[in-house]
Amino acid sequence: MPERLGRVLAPKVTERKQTDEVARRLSGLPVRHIDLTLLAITIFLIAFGLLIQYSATHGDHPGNPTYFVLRQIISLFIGLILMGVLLSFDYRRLKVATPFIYGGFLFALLVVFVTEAAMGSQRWISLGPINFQPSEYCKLVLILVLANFFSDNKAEPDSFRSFILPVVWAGPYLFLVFLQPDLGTTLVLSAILLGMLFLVGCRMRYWVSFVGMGAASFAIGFIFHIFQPYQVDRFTAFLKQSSSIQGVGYQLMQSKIAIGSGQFVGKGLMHGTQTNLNFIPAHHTDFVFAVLGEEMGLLGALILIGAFCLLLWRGVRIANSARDFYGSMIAFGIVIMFVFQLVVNVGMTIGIMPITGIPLPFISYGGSSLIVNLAAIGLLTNIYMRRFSQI
Amino acid sequence: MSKGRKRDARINLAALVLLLGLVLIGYRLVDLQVVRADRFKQIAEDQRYQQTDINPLRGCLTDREGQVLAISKEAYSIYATPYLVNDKPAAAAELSGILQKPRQELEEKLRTKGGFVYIERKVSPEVADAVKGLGIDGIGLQKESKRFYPQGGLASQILGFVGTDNVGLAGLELQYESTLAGEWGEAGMEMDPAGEPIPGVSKMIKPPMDGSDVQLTLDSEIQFKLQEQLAQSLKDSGAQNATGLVMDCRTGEILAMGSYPDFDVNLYSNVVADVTRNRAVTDGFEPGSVLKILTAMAAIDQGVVSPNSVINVPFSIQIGEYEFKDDHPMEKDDLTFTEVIAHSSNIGTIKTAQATGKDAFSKYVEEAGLGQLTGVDFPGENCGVVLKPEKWNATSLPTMAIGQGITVSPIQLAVLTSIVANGGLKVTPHFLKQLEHPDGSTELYQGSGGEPIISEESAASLRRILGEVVRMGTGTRAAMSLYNCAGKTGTAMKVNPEGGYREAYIATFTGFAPTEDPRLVTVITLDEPTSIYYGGLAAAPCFSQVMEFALQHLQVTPSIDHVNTKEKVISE
Repeated sequence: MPERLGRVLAPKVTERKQTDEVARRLSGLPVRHIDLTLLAITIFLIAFGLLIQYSATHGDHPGNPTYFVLRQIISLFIGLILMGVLLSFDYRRLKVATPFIYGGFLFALLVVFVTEAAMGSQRWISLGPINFQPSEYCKLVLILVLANFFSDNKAEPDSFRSFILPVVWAGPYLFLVFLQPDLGTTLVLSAILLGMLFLVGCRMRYWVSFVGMGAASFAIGFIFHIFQPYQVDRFTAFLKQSSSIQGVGYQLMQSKIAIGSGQFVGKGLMHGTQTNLNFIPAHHTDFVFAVLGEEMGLLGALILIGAFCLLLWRGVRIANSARDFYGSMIAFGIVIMFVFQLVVNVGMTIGIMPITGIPLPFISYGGSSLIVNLAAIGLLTNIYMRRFSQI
Repeated sequence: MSKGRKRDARINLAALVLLLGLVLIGYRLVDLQVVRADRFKQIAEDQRYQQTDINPLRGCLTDREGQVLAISKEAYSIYATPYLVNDKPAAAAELSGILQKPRQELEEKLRTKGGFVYIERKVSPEVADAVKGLGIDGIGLQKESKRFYPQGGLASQILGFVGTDNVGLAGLELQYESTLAGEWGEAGMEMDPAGEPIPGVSKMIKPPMDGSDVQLTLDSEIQFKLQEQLAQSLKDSGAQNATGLVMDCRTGEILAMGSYPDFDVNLYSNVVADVTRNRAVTDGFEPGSVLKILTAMAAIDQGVVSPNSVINVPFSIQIGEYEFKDDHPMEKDDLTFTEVIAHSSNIGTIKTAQATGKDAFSKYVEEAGLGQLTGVDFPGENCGVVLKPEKWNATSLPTMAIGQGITVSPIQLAVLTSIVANGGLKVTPHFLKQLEHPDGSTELYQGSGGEPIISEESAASLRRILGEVVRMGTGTRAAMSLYNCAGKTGTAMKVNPEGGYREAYIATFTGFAPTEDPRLVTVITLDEPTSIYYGGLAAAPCFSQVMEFALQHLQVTPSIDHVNTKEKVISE
């Protein structure tokens, strides 16, 4: 079954036939080989996100309905510029720069701790009008670091060395982000690390022990109150599924009420009563999916999930058609990043995943998140359009 | 190639896991948005949208001149949504300062389970503002109206009162509840997550219909005088209770009614229920000699006697096993019928009643409305106890002829007296003058106009007889300075609950004035007077004071021929 599915999802690079057609493609500018489907999905998701954000926030600043949307558009332009920069050169040149990028963001993560805390955690570095959130960028940096390591790794993939070195690379990021505290991003970083280790062929014994150790330390954290009480509450709220209208159960309940009451076609954009009356907490950030579910119903939700399925399909295809292992690993890492965030974010709003502060890619308000997502799309495009390029 | 195949398998597995996640989400979404959608929709509606009843403004009660007796004022109720109040002890402490209530009690209320609890009902707008100024989360204000009686204790037993929910509980507030109350309106309100209505988005579904104003036949001035005099006679006589009423004998309009001790309606929660009773309507008692009016009415109208018929009056007579006596010996043995009534001879009255006969007497009892409701527009009327003629024994007629063994209410006495005063018509006593609807239209009281009971000639004879009561009989203290009046005294023994009678009296005077063209009927009864207990001594002076004031207030022309004014009366 996995084998059959795999053939559908991932036509093998090695089985590609060297035809005349391919030879023709080898000539000409890389931009001719751009993935138009991926581009279309991206444009759709950005537009969809801005629409939902407008609908979610148009009443938050009375007299200024575009307050949040305009800020998001500024980030969009920054993201598009970064995307352009990332497209302008062959992605393999990143290999040289990766250690510096890694070090730079490690420094940024440390700087975060001398900033003022906002909402109980230190995540942001204020850069004038926009806030810069290093942990968001770290997701993509970790992907680059791991792809770099795996592609250069001479040891057997199932060796201990091939397992432990990526963990060592990822460790400082995981640790510092966890300390902020930012449980959500820690989970995304862990998912990227574990996912890429798994794909590269890590020995299952190591992998399982690592996951087990992670789970165990989590459990110890719970028992010895290392986590903030609110984190514990949020994390366990989905297990209780109480209809309590108080505390964290309130947040989850309100989210479920909003989504459930949206029914099949939703209440219409701007007409979400739970949204407009502020029943939904964090309705433009972590719980933006509740707005979508309320105002666009099951239909809108399935369109969004459909778009991400397409993204998953294109991502895997790009990974498989990449010219080299390095590009392939980056593409896989990005796919994991997107889909993991989607599943956990949507899952938490509908009560099947713990509540952790993970944004919904392209849809949640947040500059750093959007910029990183656009950079990731830029990287995918870069890998795909240079699949025929010679060095 | 095995390494490559292995990796492919892992890619497929990873993709499958991610895909499974997406499928799981899709499944859950269908569950939330299709299967259980209606339930969530309902919850969303419930917590966001609240239908509120909007109370209509309760109508006013006014006197016959339009002076306000009861009005609804703006008031606020303070409520809490307990789980939204974070620091309960602090909130309780702050509220206790403003509301003057113990902190402990308030804190207990704030700890109530559930989403709503009243902290205090109906506070003034000033107190409400102060509470609002505290800005405590979870404490809210609700606009309501509070009943206020600007005249304080005036006519309090008649007006009655309303409960906290503004529903009439007693008196005319209860009688005219549906008229005064109006109709509740409904508004839909959007609520914010704190459960507060969002200003500006409430939608009127059905506007409230304010209640109608009820204008009463009461006259505040006469009412005040009556209450003042009742209090005075209570003091003078040492009675436990003084009850009285003033009624227009031609129409049945009640101008004043009350009992003393009375109370201030605005403080009704602090008084004993006893003083809230409108005894003139709700209490029956054995009237004693005042009921000789009825005996005389039957005899005169039947032509059994004329005012000048001579009746032999021994000191006592034996009927069956009982011996009836007069309270005081008469001056002579042969009295005219007029003298029998004027001096309130029991023997003379009993002999007259016996001459009239049981059938004719009982017919007048019924026609005069004794043992029946007068139809007054007041809740809880007492119809009195009258034995059915077929159950009468040998002593029933003589006993009832002198007003024992039968109970009547003061309002029934007033109706009986009116028959004599107005020329033979039984009127329906009433408080309602007119309704003034919110749309400005008015609706006048529709009376029946009175039912003829006796002939005008009989009534005229009776008026002369009752006039003699005041001129030279037991009722000389009822005489006024400017008006001739007529009436009857009564001094009834009270029934002993264990049987028989006891040494306690009810002193009564019922009468009308001016005798030549009667306008008003006034009834005064004193319950268990101690220092003076004769109706003619205890109740008649009160009658005189109230009646003279009322007639002058109504600008009734004083009597030209003074027949039994103060200077003309012959004291016993």
